[in-house]
Amino acid sequence: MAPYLVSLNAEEEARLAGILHEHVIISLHEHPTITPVDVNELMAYEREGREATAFEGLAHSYLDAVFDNMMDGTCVISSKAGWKWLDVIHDIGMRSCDIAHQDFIIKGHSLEDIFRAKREGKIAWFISVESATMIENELDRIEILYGLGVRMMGITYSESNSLGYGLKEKSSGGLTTFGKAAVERMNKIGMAIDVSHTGDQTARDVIETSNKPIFISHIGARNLWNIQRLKPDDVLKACADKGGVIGIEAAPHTTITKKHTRHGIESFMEHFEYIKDLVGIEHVTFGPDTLYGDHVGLHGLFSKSMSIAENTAGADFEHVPYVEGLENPTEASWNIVRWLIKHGYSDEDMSKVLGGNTVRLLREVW
Amino acid sequence: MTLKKAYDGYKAYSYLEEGVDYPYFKYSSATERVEPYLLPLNETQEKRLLEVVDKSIIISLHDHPVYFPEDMKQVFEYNREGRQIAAYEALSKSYLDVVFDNLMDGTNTIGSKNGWKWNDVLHDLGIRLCDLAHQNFIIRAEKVEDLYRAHKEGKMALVPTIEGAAMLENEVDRVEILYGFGVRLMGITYSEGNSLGAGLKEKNDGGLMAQGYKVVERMNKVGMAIDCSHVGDNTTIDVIEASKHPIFMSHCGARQIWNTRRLKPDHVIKACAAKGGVIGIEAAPHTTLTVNNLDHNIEGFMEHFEYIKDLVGIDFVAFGPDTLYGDHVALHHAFASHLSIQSAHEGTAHFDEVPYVKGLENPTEASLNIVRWLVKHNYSDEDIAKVVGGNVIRVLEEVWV
Repeated sequence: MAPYLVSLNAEEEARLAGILHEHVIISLHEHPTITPVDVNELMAYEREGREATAFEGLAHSYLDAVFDNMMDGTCVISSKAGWKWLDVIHDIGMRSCDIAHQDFIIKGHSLEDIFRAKREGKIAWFISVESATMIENELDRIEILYGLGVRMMGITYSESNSLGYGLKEKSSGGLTTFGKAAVERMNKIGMAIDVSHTGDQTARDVIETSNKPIFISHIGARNLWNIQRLKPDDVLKACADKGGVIGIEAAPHTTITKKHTRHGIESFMEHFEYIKDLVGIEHVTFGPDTLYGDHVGLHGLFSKSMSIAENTAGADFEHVPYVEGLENPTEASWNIVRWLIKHGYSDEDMSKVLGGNTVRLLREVW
Repeated sequence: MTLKKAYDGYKAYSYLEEGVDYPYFKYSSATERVEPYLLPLNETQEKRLLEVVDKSIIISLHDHPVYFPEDMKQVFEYNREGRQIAAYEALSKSYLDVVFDNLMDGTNTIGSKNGWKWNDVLHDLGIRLCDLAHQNFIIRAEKVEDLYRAHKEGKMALVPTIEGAAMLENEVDRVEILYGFGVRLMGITYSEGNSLGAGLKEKNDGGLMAQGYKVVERMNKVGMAIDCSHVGDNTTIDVIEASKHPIFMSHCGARQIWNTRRLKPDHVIKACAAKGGVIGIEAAPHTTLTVNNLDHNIEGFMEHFEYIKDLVGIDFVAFGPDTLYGDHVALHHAFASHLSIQSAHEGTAHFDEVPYVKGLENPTEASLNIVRWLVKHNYSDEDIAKVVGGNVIRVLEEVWV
């Protein structure tokens, strides 16, 4: 389908060039891989454990760094239920091997890689695993993942695990004893913590337990759109109060609003501005959570294991075939920057929300 | 004496609390466990030595540069932890620019007494890499340019190596997964056979198996170097023939001068070199013995070096001492069956065990004395540069992507 581009006038286009040149632009949460055109082939594709990095797609983006969240809930190499230790490792290893055979995408291990990527016209690629389910009850696995390249990890997915309650649970339990030990170990090792998919109380517990600020990498405001998948104001504030950074999510049918019931860049940016007003411009960024392919189709196929129905249950909304303006990581990167320019955001503020806030947090954590 | 300027005092796992986050073991002194031995040189030779070390990239093609418990009876518990202690300080006193770190190999008994489990290999690798990522003295080598950079910056480069491939089972994709995690050299088999081919302890070496051909092919495509140190003779010949690129035999010696299965016959050494491969000389206790040096020491080790050098030429030899920081002899006793010690020595002349290999007791001492010995024996600068690292780099330039 035709790409969507937020239109800018000549002056704004000139500003765009300057911004791209000056500032580090980071996506805090993506799945930048290519998926099969025929969604019916998707299961077989994922079972292979050999996802294809979208080198060319990324090359057309504005991104200097991307947090790749790998196969996450669709990592079904050996089990339909996903989240198996060896499967997660298989995915990370396979992608890392591929990345090692080219020079445009750099496997990132530290902040310096982001700055080097920007200098050299490359992209720094950071591995993030959006849940810790696969570590079972093994604390050492956190270090093993770090050694293999993982630099950010979610505490739980939407489903609960041995660390705590996921957002799909109806109950309000929080972090478990093991989860607390895991948070402490992640602090010691320097692995960034993400609570995008955890239940509200678990998120609160993690924020309190962690001696470093944390990320909520791909989220929106439940106060704008009342579904379990988004976070309530108090959690967003608690995260920001401790220095954390919140990334706005754009996977299909997440960041919708009453004003914009058709999921697209306007509803997405309503969540951005709401959260920015709630916690301050220093604590927001973007984690679009997109991929190259039929994201809606993928959701349909994996709906059970990704708790899609539970997470998006709420008011009536328009079902879209794709999210206009944020259809894939490349398009999302263009339109986010362009939208901010169009809406008169200053260079300083843009620098913060496009990557500066993330860099600030990582300086403390990594 | 700290030759490596970039070492800043980092100790392994400094980001955790020893005794709280992981168990405490009392470790051997790294370089003074036994009386240190430095090959004596005269003043001119000492001066030349420093120049040589400054100019050349010095590579250990095979070592296990970690500290071990002082009481080797604790080694089972230590290994089960899967958290070996990298010897940053001791390595900083070596001449090494590059070390091929062979991790826990046959003694990787984290989850099973029998070792060689996929999950355990990943565990060992992951924990060690996490530690490496927390310091700046030792860099992970992924490309040849990393080796040069280490030398230039007064650092060291570490190449994760796995000396057997049993953990692959029948999964060829695991080659890529290991490559993705930094492994750049892998042995086709350990001393025991596996689903790829026969190891050196097997009496029936039927050569490389179908699965083995697939793995060799995949290793060639991915750019992972191949090692046949522990592989049976026939299987090794098949690997050399099947591989598009030269291979390594990272730690071995000449069976012709000490008749054991553990060392390689002339025809295998020649086949390896004929295809451009490089043979590293081994110094684990009681391997590279000779009739003239029945007490394992650097002289016997160098007899193997010179024999192989004369056999195939100076362009195809290097050093893979295969040492560690601790009582290696006691470790061999403890792990005898895992390391196939008995069958490795079948057929030899009688020899007495030594408590340690004089001059090559640990990775640091080995690196010092190897270069000192070459200087003492009047090898030219050019030849020294070849055997201490240049030959290895030549192969890597072809094999590594």
